[in-house]
Amino acid sequence: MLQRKKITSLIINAIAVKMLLTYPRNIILNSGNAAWIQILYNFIIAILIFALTAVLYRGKKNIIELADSCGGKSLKIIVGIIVFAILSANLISVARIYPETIKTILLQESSVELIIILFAVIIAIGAYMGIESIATVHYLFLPIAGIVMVSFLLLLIPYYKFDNLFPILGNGAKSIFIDGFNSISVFSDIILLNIFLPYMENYSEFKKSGFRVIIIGGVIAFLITLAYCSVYPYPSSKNFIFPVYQLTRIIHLSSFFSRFETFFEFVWSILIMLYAAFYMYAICYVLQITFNLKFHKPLIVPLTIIIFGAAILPSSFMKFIELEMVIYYIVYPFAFLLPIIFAAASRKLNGGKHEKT
Amino acid sequence: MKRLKIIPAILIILLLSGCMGTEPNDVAYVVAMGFDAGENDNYKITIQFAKPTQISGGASEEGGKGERIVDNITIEAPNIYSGINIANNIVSKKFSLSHAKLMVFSKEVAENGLDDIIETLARSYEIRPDMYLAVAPDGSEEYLSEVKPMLELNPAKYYQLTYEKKGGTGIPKSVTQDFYFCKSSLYRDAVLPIAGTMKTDSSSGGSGSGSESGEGGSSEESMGGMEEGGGSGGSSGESTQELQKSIDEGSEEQKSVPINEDKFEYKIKNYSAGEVAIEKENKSEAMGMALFKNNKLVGLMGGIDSEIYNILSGNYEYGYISFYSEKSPDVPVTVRLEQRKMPRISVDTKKKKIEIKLYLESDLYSLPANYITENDIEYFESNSKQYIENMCMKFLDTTINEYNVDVLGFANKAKKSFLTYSEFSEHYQNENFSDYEINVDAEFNVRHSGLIMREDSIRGIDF
Repeated sequence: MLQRKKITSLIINAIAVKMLLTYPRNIILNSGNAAWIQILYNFIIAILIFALTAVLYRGKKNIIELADSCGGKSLKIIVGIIVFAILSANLISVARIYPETIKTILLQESSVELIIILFAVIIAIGAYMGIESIATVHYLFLPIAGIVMVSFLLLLIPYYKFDNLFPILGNGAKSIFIDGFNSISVFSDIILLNIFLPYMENYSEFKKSGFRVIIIGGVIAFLITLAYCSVYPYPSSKNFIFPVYQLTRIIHLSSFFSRFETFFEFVWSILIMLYAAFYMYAICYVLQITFNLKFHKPLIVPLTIIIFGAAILPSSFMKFIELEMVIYYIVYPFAFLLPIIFAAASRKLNGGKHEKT
Repeated sequence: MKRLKIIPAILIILLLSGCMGTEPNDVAYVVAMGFDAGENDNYKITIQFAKPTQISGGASEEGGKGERIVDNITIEAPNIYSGINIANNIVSKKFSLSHAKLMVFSKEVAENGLDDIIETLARSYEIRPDMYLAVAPDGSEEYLSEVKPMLELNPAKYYQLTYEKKGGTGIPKSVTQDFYFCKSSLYRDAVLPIAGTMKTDSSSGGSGSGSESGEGGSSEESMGGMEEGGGSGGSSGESTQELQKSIDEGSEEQKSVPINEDKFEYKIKNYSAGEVAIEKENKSEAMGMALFKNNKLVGLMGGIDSEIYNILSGNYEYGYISFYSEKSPDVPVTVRLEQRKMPRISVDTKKKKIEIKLYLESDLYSLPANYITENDIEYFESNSKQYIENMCMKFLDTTINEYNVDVLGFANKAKKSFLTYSEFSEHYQNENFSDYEINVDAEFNVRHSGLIMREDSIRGIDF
C-alpha cells in the first residue's frame, strides 16, 4: 500500500516537471501573454473532469482491470495499450528533451548519446527499485524543490512587470478557450492516480489525492506561467525554448548573487530523474497487468531501450519539438476520456455502491 | 552477490568523480568585446580578455606590478562566434564568453542595426542575459584599448561597477536581455549608454578639467589611483601637482560642451562620454545615452538627459542635483534627489493623452551662504518641481518629436487599452506619440536639511 501523501507527491511532480521543460512555451505559442489565463481555464476543466470521474467511479479497480470486467481480455488489452501509449508519449518527450537540454546548457562538449545512455541507466535503476522507493524519494525531495521554487519566484520580484500581461486576452478568446482546451494535457498525469488505485487504501484516498494533485499542480503551473508572462514581454516570450531556465538565468542580486540556474539545474535534474523513473515503472506495471505477467522487472531493460530508441528517432531537436505538440493533441484526450468512460462502467458494475476495502 | 553490487559503486566513484574536458586554466575569459565596421561587411571585433595572473594572488597586493590586467585582440569576422573561432587560433588558450561583461558597438555598427548581434547574444547559452551593452562613438577598439582600471584589479568588476553604478549616474541601465525585448516586442525603443575615450595628447598629461562641473570625484579618483600605488605603472611616479596641472589644462572637447542654462542641473555641462574629466591613465568613461529606433542608432544625448531618462523610467534611485535659485542666481542649490517610488505612466489612446506622475524627494546638501533656503522651503519645492517638469517635457519633446523614439515604453502602457495583441499591434503600426498631449506631474518634497538647520529659519527672520 502507498500512503496518500506519497502518491500525491508522485503525481504532483509529474505535472510540475512538464512546466520545467518546454510546456509553458507551447501555451504561450497558443495564447500569447494570456497563457496564465489558459492555465487557469485548463485547471478549472481538469477539476471538473476529475470531479465527474470521482462522482461516477465505484470500486477500487483501475481502468485496465475494469476493462477486463466490462469487455473481457480483448478490451483489457486495447485499454492497456492506449494507457501504455499515453504514458510512453510522456516519457519519450522527457527522454529526448532532458538530455538535449543538458547538452545545450551544461555539457556542451559531451555527446548527447552519452547523456541519453546515462539518463536511461539511471531511470532503469530507479524503476527497478520499485514504486515504494520511488514514492519515498519523491516525498522526501519535493519539499526541497518547493523551497527552491518559492525562493526562485521571490527572487524574481524585481523583474515582474505586470504591463507585460496586457493585452489581457493575448492572442484572443478563441485561442485561450477553444484552441487552449488541448493544453489540459498538462494534467493528464492524473491517469496515473487511476492506474495505481489498487495501491491505495480506499477510494476516498484516491479522491482526496486527485483533488490535491490538481490543485497543487495547477497552482505550480499557474505561478510559473504568470511569472514568465510578466517578466518576458510577448512576443519575445515565445522564442525561448526553456522558459523556467530562462527565468532563473536573469536573477541577479547586486554583485554577490547571480547564476541562480545552478541551484535550479540541480533540483530540476533530480525531479526529472524521479519523474522518469516513476514513469518507467508505471509503463512496466501497465504492461504487467494488461498481459497478466507475474513480474514487471524483466520488462524494464527492453522497454527502456524502446522508449529511448523512439526518443532519438527525430533527427533534430526542433523536429522533436514539432512532433511533441502533435503527440499532445492526439494522445492526451484519452487520458481524460478513459477514466470517465470506465467510471460510468464501474458504477453500472457495482450498482452505485463502493466496494468494501 | 553482495560483493558484486560494490563493483558499480566503485566504478562510479572512480569514473565520474573527475572532471573531463576543459580545465579552467586552459580557458581565456573574455571580459568585453567591441564591434567596429570592417571591410567586406564584416565586423572588426576586439576581444578583451582577462589576464588572471595579473588579477589574482600576490599581484593584487602590488597593484598588478604596473602590467595591464586585460589584453586585446582585434580580428575581422562576420559574427561573434566566427571571431572567437579565429581568435582561438591566435592565443594558446580557448576563449570563453561565460564571464563577458560588456559589448561595445561603434557608432557606424550601431547605425547599421544590431539585430544579428543581439540575436546571437540571446541564443547563446554562455553569454549572460545581464551583460551590459554600450555605444562608443569614437570606435569600440579605441574605447577598449583605453580601459585601464586604476581602482579595480578585476576587469569584470570594473565594468560592473561602471555600468551598474547605483545613484543618479549619467548613463541609462541597459543589459542584453532588455535590448532583445526591445528588438522582438512592441515594448519600447532601446537606449544604451555611451562609452567614450578622452582625446588628449598622452605626452601632455592627458586628462582635462571637470572642475566647472563639480566633478570633483574624477580628480579624487585619480588621486586614489595614485595612492594605491597605481593600478598602472605609468602614473605611479607622477606627483599630485602634475596631475592637478593636467586636470586644470582641460581638453578642447570639454570646452566645447556648453554650460546647461536649464534650471535643473543648473551650471552643469551636459557631457557625453569622452568629454568629462577623467583619470590620467584610464581615458575611458561612460556618460550619456544612445537612442535606437528599430535597433538602429538614431541619436546621442548627454549625461543630464540620461538622468532625466532614469527619473522618467524609474531607474534613478538617487543622485545629487543642482537647482537654479532665483534668490541666489550665481550659486545653485544642490540636493540629494531620491526616487521614492516608480513613476506612474498612464496612456489614454482614445483621448491621445499621456500622464506621467513622478515621486521624488530630496535632502538639502549644498546651499548658498547668503540665502537661507530653509526659510522658503515651499517656494523652493514648487520652483524645483517646475524645473523637473520642464526638463522632463524637454526630454520627451526631443525623443518623441526630434528622434521619433518611444524610450519610455508608452506603447507597452498603451497595451492596457486593447483586448488582444492583434488589435494592439494593428493600432500601434499607425501610432505616433507626437500626436499625444503629454503632462508630467512631479511630486517633489524636501525631507531633511542635513546636519544643520540655520537658526534664522526657525525664528522666521529673513537673513
